Amino acid sequence: MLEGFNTSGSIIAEHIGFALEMNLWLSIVLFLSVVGPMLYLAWKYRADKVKDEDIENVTHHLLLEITWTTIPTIMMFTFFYYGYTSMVTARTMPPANESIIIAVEGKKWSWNHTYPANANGFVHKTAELYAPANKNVILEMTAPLNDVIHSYFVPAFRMKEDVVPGRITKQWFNANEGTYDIECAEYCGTSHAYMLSKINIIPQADYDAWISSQDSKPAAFATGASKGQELFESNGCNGCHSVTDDSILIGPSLMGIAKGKTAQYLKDAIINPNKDIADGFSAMMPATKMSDEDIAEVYSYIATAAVAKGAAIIESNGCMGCHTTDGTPSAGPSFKGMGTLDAGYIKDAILAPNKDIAEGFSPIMPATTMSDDEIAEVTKYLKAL
Amino acid sequence: MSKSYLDAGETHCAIGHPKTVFWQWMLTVDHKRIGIMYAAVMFVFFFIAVFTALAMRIELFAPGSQFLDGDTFNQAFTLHGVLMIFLFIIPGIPAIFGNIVMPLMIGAKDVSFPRLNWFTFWLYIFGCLVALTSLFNFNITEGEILFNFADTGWTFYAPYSLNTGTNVVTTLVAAFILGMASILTGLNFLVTIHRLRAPGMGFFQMPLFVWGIYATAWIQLLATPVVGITLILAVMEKYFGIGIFDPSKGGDPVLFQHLFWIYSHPAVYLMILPAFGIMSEIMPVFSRREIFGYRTIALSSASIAGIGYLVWGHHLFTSGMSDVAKTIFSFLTFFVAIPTGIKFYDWIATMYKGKIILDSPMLWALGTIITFAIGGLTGVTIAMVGSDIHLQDTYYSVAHFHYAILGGVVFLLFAGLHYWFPLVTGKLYNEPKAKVAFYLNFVGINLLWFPMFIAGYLGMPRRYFDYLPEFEIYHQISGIGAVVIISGLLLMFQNFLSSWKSGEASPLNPWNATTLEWYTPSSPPPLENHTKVPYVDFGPYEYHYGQPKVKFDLQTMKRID
Amino acid sequence: MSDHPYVPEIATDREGNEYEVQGWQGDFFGGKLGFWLFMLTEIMMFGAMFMVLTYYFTLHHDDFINASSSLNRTLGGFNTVVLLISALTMGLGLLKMRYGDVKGAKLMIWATILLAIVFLGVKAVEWTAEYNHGVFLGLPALQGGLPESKPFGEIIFFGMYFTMTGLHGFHIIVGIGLMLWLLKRINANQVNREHYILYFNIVLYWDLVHLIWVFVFPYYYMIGAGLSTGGH
Repeated sequence: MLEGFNTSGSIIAEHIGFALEMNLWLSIVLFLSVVGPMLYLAWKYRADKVKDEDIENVTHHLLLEITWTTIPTIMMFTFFYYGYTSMVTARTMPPANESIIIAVEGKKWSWNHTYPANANGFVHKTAELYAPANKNVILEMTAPLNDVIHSYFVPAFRMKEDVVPGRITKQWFNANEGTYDIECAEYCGTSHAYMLSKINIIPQADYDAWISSQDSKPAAFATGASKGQELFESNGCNGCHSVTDDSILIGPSLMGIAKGKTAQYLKDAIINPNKDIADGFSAMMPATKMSDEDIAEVYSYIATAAVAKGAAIIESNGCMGCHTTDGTPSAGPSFKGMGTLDAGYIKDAILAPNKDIAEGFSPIMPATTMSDDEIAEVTKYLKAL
Repeated sequence: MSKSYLDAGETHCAIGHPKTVFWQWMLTVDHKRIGIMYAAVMFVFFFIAVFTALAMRIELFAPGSQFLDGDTFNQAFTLHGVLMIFLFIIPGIPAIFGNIVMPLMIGAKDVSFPRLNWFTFWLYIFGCLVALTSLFNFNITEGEILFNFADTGWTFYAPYSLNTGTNVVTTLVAAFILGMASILTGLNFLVTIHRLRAPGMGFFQMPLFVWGIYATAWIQLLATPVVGITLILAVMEKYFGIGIFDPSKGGDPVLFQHLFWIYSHPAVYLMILPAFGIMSEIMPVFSRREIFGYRTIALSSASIAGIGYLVWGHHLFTSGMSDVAKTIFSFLTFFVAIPTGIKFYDWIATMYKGKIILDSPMLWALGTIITFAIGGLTGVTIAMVGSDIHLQDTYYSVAHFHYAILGGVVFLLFAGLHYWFPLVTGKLYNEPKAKVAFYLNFVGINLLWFPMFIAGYLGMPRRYFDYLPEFEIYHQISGIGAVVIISGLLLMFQNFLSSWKSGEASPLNPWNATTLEWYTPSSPPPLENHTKVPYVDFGPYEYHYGQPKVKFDLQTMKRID
Repeated sequence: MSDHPYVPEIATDREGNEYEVQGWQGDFFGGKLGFWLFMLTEIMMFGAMFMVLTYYFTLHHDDFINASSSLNRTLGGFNTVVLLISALTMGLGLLKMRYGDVKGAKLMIWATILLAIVFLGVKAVEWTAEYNHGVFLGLPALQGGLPESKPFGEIIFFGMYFTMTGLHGFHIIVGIGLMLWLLKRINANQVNREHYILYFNIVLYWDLVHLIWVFVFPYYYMIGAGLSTGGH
């Protein structure tokens, strides 16, 4: 079960939940009223128990017919009524002055949330939604004009509304603290199944503290990620581009492009993405507005993302005590240039370093325990030097 | 032994008098032969679509990507939908049994426009071929064939269908051609039913299957042109970029949804009404008594067809339509539920004080009462606007649709296949095998789709090729159900084919039925059906102590009771 | 199909009363009914397009008026008159056939064909003029998002204009084909004073074709009549 699904997370969920439950029980009654008599009659009048003379052609029974017309009719309009009232709850937006209005943009294949500017005029943008508990939140949703229809679906809140290019659709919630899933419910292509995000409902005080800051995420969610990474993720770039390895998601991998391309190239690619398409890919990337400083942050993130983990591992294992990265030999040979060595050699050199010593160095390196994943990261780091 | 319509040379042809059996089939205008050819083609596409679905179920057996990537999966469900909807279900029962049985039931020699019927069949085949060409990109210079089927889903929603690089245009054109074939079939049947009923047979002496076909034909005639032109506008849009549905040029993508569902919602009644007709044939025959509430059933078909035009908006409850419109569409939708419910009670009342023969057609019919009740009632859930906000575009809708269409339309089509198999082939099928096949199908459908109601309620969206791990168990039960139901389908068709080849010969009226199609001088019937057209001054389901009341001398078609 | 003359079958009830059975052969009313039903589908098809048009007319009122004012009302009006006269000649031909005047009927069909060709010619002149003004399907002016694009309402207007008049023109061409076929059948004496269902239905078809134009003309040409004198 999805997180928070059963907690009546929002006012809408309570109303729609009630409508669904009432519908379930009445439907079971109606189902039994059809299938029960059917099974009973099929058993009662089974062929080997009925003599031909006992068959009767009953073709009308006014009272019965009136009964089985009116009672289901009444039930149907009970359903209609509760369907209507729960819709009214879900679709009547609370007054704007008592609500937080958050703009949502759905694009292939990510969700972006833009918050009202804080006192300093700073506007937060996030991929996951952060909102205060027990407060009305109105979502004003749209999609880029050249994009397709999406649908913003929060199962735990029982709410969903299509996100249509060129239109603004709205929905609202008022929820308890917790984390809830967002899914795209209107088919939108290749990564439709991965157009996921989360709603984080946090205490009002935490929310206020965050919104008045310039932090990219509320304190409890801070990952220590660089600003560039935050931007990369909150703009949904990671939906289509990998940076930490060379796998192709939708668009080309950005690993290592900082080597050959300038920040200016990246800027062009973000602002006018379809001008110059990499071979074998189609023009589908939506344009994104970003300041020059932000682009510089993203650029430095892309430049370092692939190797950041490896660098951290090397750092924490104290390798830099004996090895350099600039080519000058120290107690051991420099890491620079080791990228040409094959992965098996590097693994051996870490786990059993003194088996095969580089010429001119002494066997002084201690063996280090590292998982295969860590070794892979280190290898990647070395290759990028 | 007189000759039957299946014997060589026993056919009228559209052009000339061909000598070879092959050309006699290709050019035949005989309604029975055309019906059989429709069935043959349709079941081939049906099984292609079934195995496409199986591939998707295998892919979904575990989270993550197994052997399909996202794009291929999207093409797979589009292929499944397009084949099932446009090539199989929509034309299905009218084209197969409407052709084979309906003229026999009203005592006609053929449909009103036999040559048009022949043309329509080949138009249908042409549409199928166009649909098949859209599977691939043919790169002649490179000698390559690339799989490039549309990936839009069978609904072709704009603007997705306008932006995607796959073969949407040919798929749209195929759907348009198939739509034309559907219109012409409906037109032919309407005129046939109005003009060619045997003397004395008024509308209320017609068998209820004919009523179902009649109501269906009106939908085919009046709703199909709307989707036809919508598809053409989408093609114009794609070629010339006039922007009718394209928001980047100022158009309104939701307009496409409206136009699409103006047809496609009545289309689901177009699928179910003839199926209800089959149910109305089987219930009295296997209860050996007159049907309960003949007029109510007949008129409820007509009213479902009528109301069906006014409810398309319930597909758009979360599309950004105004709340007033949602309320109206929801209100109207409940009016469809009422006549449908009444029909069900009428069928069950037909069993009262009858003699229930549990042969396989009846088993299928009773099984359908259960599965369609589930399909129908879950449809009521999503007719409630509030509930639909939560359930729209989830597995709940998927399960509802399959319970209603597979568990309603296709199950009744299978019931009809069993019921009319002796009439069409002159052979009896293997009854124990048929029963096993039924139980496999019945267990299979519930295993396959019932878990989806739960998964959908818990928030599993449709058209996902990968999913959150919370939903794994539901997908796995579904996967097992898929294997069960497919083994049932294979067994059923194996039974049909082997019985046709080497089954026992069928007596003239194996089920003790009362409707005219069983009163032909031979089994299977001769070329021009009844030896003479009977005069009809009796109701369609007249039984007396479990035996058909009306008896004919089959050579003169004079009543001898 | 049987080449023998069709003799209706007789059904007998229990009292021995006889009833003529209606076969599919020679069913005049069935043929008529079938064709009327076909006409209904045409109405649904064009009706759906008029609905789309009305929807966008309410959204982009001024664009529609502007675009309409640039159509050539003189040529459009001339074509309307041509089609109306052709409907008259077509109908007169059927009357003549029913009175046994085969020659007169054929003359009327030829007149109708001629008028239909005149209609198509005028239409071609109009379309060419529009093409030369850069207004045609697929040209930049009718593509959204380019510097030379027209406003969206005008794009929709012209897009639907070319789609609908094109589809209507297609119906005219089919009509000409049908009339030529009809002439062949008359010459073969398969359509004559007694058996004229084919003739009847083609007349019906032609009536629908001109009727659709009667709606197309005001909707496209006349709504902008108040704005300017029009004409390319």
